[in-house]
Amino acid sequence: MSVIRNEVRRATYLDSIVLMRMSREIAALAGVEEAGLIMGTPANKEILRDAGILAREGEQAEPGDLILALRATDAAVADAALVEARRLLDRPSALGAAAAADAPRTLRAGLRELPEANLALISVPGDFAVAEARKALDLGLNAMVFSDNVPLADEAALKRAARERGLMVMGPDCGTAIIAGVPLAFANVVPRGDIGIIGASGTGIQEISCLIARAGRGVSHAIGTGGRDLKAEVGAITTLMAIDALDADAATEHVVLVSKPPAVDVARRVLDRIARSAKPFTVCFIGASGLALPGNARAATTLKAAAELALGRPLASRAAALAPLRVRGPHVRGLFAGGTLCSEAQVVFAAAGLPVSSNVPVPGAEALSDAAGGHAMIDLGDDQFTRGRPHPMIEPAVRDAPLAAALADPNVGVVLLDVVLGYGGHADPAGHLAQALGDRRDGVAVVASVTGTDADPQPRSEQVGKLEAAGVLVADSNADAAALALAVVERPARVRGAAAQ
Amino acid sequence: MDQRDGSKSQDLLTSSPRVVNVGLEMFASTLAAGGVRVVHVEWSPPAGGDSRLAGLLEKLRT
Amino acid sequence: MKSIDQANQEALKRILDGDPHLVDVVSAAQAIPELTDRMILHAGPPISWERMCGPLRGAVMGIAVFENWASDLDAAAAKAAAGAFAFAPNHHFGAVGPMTGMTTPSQPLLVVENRTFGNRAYCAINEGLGKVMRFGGNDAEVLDRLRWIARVLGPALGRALRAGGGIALKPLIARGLTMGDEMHQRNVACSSLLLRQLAPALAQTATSTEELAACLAFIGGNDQFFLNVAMAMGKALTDPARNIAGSSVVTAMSRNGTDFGIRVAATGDRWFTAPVEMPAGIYFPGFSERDANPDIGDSAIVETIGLGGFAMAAAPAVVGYVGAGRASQATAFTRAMGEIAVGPNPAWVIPAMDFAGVPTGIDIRLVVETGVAPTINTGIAHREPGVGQVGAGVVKAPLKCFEDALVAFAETMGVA
Repeated sequence: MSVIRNEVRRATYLDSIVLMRMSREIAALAGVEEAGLIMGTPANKEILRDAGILAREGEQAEPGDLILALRATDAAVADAALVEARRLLDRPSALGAAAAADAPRTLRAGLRELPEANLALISVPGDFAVAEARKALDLGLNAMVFSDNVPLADEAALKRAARERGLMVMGPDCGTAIIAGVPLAFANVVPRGDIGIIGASGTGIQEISCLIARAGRGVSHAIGTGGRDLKAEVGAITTLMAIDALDADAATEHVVLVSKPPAVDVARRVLDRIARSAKPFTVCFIGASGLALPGNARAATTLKAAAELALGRPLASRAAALAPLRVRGPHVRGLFAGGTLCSEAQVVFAAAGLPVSSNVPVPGAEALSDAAGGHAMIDLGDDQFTRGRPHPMIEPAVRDAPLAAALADPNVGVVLLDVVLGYGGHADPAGHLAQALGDRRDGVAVVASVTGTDADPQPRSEQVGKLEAAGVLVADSNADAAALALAVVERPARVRGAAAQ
Repeated sequence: MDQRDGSKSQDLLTSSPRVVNVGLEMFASTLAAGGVRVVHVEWSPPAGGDSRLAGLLEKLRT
Repeated sequence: MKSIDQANQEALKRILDGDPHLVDVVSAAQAIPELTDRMILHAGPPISWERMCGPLRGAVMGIAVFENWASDLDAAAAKAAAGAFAFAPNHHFGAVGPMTGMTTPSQPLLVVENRTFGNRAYCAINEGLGKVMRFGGNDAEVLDRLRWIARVLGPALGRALRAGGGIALKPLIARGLTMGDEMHQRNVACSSLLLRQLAPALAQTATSTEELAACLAFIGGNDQFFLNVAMAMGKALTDPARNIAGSSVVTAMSRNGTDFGIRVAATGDRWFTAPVEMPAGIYFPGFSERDANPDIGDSAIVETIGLGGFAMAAAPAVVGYVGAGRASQATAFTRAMGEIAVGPNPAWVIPAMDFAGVPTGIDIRLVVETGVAPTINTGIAHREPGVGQVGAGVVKAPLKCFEDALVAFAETMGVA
């Protein structure tokens, strides 16, 4: 008979990543069925309730309290697991116990310790992010807001306040930036160079910057604007500020702008501003077409095309050497950690005239439904999957179950995957994937791209090697991977002409 | 509607970022390991999560 | 319209601009004309006899006998219960007192004058350690000592101070901070500096050699003598900030053994109270937490001006009392207090923190936001009256005081 234990620590806060790691450690103990160490907000309590591990003590927790909840096979195991959980909580932090005791508790105190600071990197829970960002602006700091779930109206007001002060807000929901060669949050190690990037998408920035790096060039700055900067309510405030900044930046010769297609009048405003710049621009509104561009701008519908336009030359597509591939099913199932990479794959399929569905469809794609068969591109990082669970870029295990399901589905002939490297990501995503793929997979081809560089904490060539050793076909870019997947099912047992190397 | 003096955001690009990190500890430790000047703030929800008091604090900010 | 931050800067400025001098010793009757017959001033916010803790009752009984308002302790207790005495906080009459903090007409009070603003504040003379009225002691030995203080020591000190023109306290505190004092639990350096400055005038104005020797021995034998001077100084420095519209700075922190009370600049003389907490600390041999009295005394006025627990980094030796272990953690306490203070005091710096000024001006908004409550260094009294000090440690001001104050402050600002 399973036993549930709850313990509540009053007014105790730990960040979500730290708590998720601890939850995993406890859940991995023999005899523990479910475990969660989580803050006592109403939403989190529901997660514990759904997992069947919320008891009376946990119910009574307040949002500022920490709940330890677990379910185990019997009382002895449960009690031992609780002891271990307490030990983990009381263990000194990675920064050292002395440092933690001495650490500032507020932005204000943090600034007193580092008076020359010019950027606040904010990744607190979304409910609190705006207040912290406002404090940063009041203290004269630019802000990078990694947090998401910030109300749109608050984002707009925040960015207006920033603009008044001549400060920049990157975000909310800004996962990636590279400023003066420094990777911030989830970013790759790329050389400095003369191409600037302004991105509403983190993985969009990552893919473009890595393609530039692997072509032997570099990035001056990659400014994240947050996913909603180009919505009508926000009006591209950060994008416009970023254009001004890169215009004035001596190191930047060419600017790439990447995002989802914006609202019409916002697009107009941005393009008008681009027209006033002396520098050449590449505009990548993924999935959009028919834009009226000023003379100094060119359009790209994919991330790869954007990189090529910025570089001023095509990128060689080294098609994987294929023996004629026999796949058992007619469909491609894409399972993505990066939302923009999922979008790019859809664009490749739609441009080839193939129907494709997705949980985050681009113009020209269908919404995913149980009835729809056919090619499907799933963004596993979308909110519906990540509520209360880690993001697949941090925890590749999140992709394991959908991957197993795809490999077992007789209609699936190709599984298409992205592997995103860099700071903040998993230490060995290729290794995990190779293990998850297991041994023989007759009749299913696995195609992947690896977004990263050899200077990343997970060197790209090593990651590619692990994937290829596991029988994965690795393409040079996400767009190429999508094209390769498409080729395998569209021309079964034939290879689309290999590009010259 | 026009942007005021953008010198502070310009300063962000011209010199190396010096960061105050509020939230996930791993961002700070990564930056520190990379030699970036960073201070990590041991943040916790304002007013211990009490939304009424936190709301008052927001209104009494300056 | 002035912002809260601007109002707080004004409050801090008034505290920092103060120029406190120890100028005289006078009887309470003389210093506080409003002190009527059978009026007993005590430490902390207002409290009735029924709610008083053991040591406070013991002190009340003793002082009633001392003032000849009751023939003996039992009679004093009966009269107190019957409402014969009028109780009021020291703070309401320009005074402060350590622990039980008894202030009555016959007692001599130290006079500190804030020359910048012209205001004065008072505190009784420290009786010494052990069995004293401060800890609720009330037997013949205690009362005899009080009589000696009233008859001999007080007047001697008064003569010496008047003859010397008073003693400037700001520079004396500055020196003490460089010598290991924090002015709450550790006052040995300041006490020594004070005696050194007083000695010539004491000698000059003494009525006899025996009297001089007795006074020098009494002061010299008490490491904590300066505490009462520091407390009167604290009151003299904060009183000018007591009414500043829009300021969320704390102007008083005080305990009566039952309630902890704070006052805030924008809300004037209003008290925000909550149950006092138990100190956490180290006990003298033979005593433990079971013997401890809850937090008591006006001495938290010292923390209110950035000293005591706020200046712990200046007194690493004190950390041993805190039970936190390593002397290097003294800095952490001062840094934590920096989170909730308006700004540093450039005149009072701590060498071990690269000469950073002590964090001054507690902002109730920051206390509520961070959950960091002011840390007070305190002696721990025995719960039974008259036993004396049983240990030393730290205690926190209850967060509820600051939360209630924030709500009231918000109302004054037209915010709900």
